[in-house]
Amino acid sequence: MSMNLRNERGFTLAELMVATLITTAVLGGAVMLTSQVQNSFRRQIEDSAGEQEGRYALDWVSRLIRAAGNNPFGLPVNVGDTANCPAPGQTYDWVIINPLGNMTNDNIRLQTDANPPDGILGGPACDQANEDVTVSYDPMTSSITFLDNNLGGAAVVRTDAVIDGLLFVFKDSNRVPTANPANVVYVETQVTVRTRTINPITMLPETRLLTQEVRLRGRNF
Amino acid sequence: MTTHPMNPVRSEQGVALIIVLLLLAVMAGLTTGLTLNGQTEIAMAHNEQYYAGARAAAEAGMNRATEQILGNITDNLMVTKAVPVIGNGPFNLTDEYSYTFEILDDDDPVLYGGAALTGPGPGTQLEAMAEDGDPNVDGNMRMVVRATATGPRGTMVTIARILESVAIPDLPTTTTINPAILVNGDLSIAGNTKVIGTQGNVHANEDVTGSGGSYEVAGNLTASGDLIGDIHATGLTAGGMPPIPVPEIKVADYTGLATHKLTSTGAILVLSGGMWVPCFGKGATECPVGWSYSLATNTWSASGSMPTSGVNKSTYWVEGNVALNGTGKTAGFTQMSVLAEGNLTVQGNGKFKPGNESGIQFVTNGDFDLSGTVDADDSLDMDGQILVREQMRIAGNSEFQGRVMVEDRDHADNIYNAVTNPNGNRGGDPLEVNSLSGNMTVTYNGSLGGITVEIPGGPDTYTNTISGWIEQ
Repeated sequence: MSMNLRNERGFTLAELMVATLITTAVLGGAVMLTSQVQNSFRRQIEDSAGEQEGRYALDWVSRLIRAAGNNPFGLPVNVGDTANCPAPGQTYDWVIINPLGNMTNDNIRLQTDANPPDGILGGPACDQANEDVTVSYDPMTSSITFLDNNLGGAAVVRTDAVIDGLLFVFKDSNRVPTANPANVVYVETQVTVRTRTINPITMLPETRLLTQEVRLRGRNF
Repeated sequence: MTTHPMNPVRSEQGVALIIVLLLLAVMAGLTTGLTLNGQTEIAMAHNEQYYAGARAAAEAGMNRATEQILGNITDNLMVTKAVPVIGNGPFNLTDEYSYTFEILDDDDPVLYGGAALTGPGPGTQLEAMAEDGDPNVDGNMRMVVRATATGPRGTMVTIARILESVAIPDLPTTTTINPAILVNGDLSIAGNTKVIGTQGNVHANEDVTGSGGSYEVAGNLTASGDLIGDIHATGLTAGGMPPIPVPEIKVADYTGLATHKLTSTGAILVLSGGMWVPCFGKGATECPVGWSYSLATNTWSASGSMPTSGVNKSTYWVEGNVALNGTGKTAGFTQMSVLAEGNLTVQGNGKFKPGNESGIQFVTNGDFDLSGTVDADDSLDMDGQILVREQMRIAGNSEFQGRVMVEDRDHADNIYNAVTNPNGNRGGDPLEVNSLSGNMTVTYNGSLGGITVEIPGGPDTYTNTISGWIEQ
């Protein structure tokens, strides 16, 4: 009987408070640690995802730039000739700097007779894909957009909303920046990606600059 | 005090187990999710890696093909459709990556997934490309070189470039050659032979064999075959030269020059009023003296002083062999030519000048043998011609001014037959090779004019350029 009474005796208030305090401290520490680890992990995931998105963008943009100017039939045949795609009067420039005219080199228009190379830019029916495209940065959606000028329609968002900036640097054969499209041999693409997490110290989104320089191989220099 | 029938200790043990199981399930779920996510990430990374590797392989292959194509000028790539020297592969870079090549006409539907290009007709692709839609017929000298690389898990990257191949035909050309000695066969040259003059050139359409260092050729010594032995000349010495055409040589082409005809029956005829009439009894002015005829050998011979007809120039058309063994005139030259339908032998010390205005000195349907100290190089007169249907030998101390041209027919195919081979040799076959030897001298100053030689063109050569860049 006396044994039962001792077993059923509860903790004292002081014991409970001490135990609660210790438990709270331990759990709080564990939660904070876990939270930090989780935040760090999430930032890394977001950072990685953002960089992956930026590299993907560099990849397909570079592929378009690399093939720009493929012109086996020497278009235009005569100086002053113009094409009919996507609209009558279109000139062949192969690399058009800042086609949107927004004072920044965050957009580029690329032309190539490659799909197939048939001497008709855009094809007889103006339906040959990837022969006249515009790549631009859309700050509203924080993404890079793609427009096939021959196929028409609206520009299509091609990246996740992690793009903080896009810049094309045009260079001549000596890698000196040039504003003359006819002299462009190299194009450096600069993509700034932004993670969707906030740096707890700066309280700003993390950004990272990715660059890739591509030679216009389709051009006969 | 109310007692509790329940046993509180036993009832709380199951809760712990359940909680542990739940925790294990949650952890297992998390582990599974993380594992699957990790595997997906790894697969994505592998895909990127394989793509990058395959792309690098394709680009490397394209660079290799470009180098080979640009360095090639002999292959018609539209026909071979293969990268020169190395072929189209496949080429294994590693156990995982390899690449192959294709060279296709730019209107080949294979390039476009099997879909034919539009056209022909205005505004169509084929018209813009100047193509016909036939992948085996190139209409615009443009082709497409494709390098396709493969990697693990079916990774495939294709890079294409435009190949322009311009054929440069090696067209036949003509040149003019003016030889003193021209033999349509082999020729040997030896001794102190001299071929001199402003056009002292020697050419054989087959081989030339030289012996010793004493012979002299003032011009070129060339052969369409090989130059063998001791070969030297003031001018060019070369084998493998284009052959110089030698026309058919036959007496019949020159009988219009004849003033007399010595027949195979022993008669001497003279041209009178356009008709051949016996000269017997016409006196020394029309009927030459000094000829004798051997019916047994069908040979007309002249010994001692050369036959003269009393006129300044005589051209004898002889229906058989001729043997001149005379000493010629004591002063000046005997202006006589011989057109022999058999073999022609000239020996002794005769001095000759062509007996006609055409400069034809000797023509024979058979062999020609010039030896002794025969002199026919009156430098004050024009260049003469010696034309031989079979073989020739010029030896001794003989001298001749002009051109010697030898057709070098095989005697077996050149035996006279009045019906089947009227231009054949009426004599035997004393000579079987062509030779220049002894101390003979041939002087030729080129007044007979050159012979046009056509140098046949060779195979086409190609200039290849590669441009553009297409990634598919």
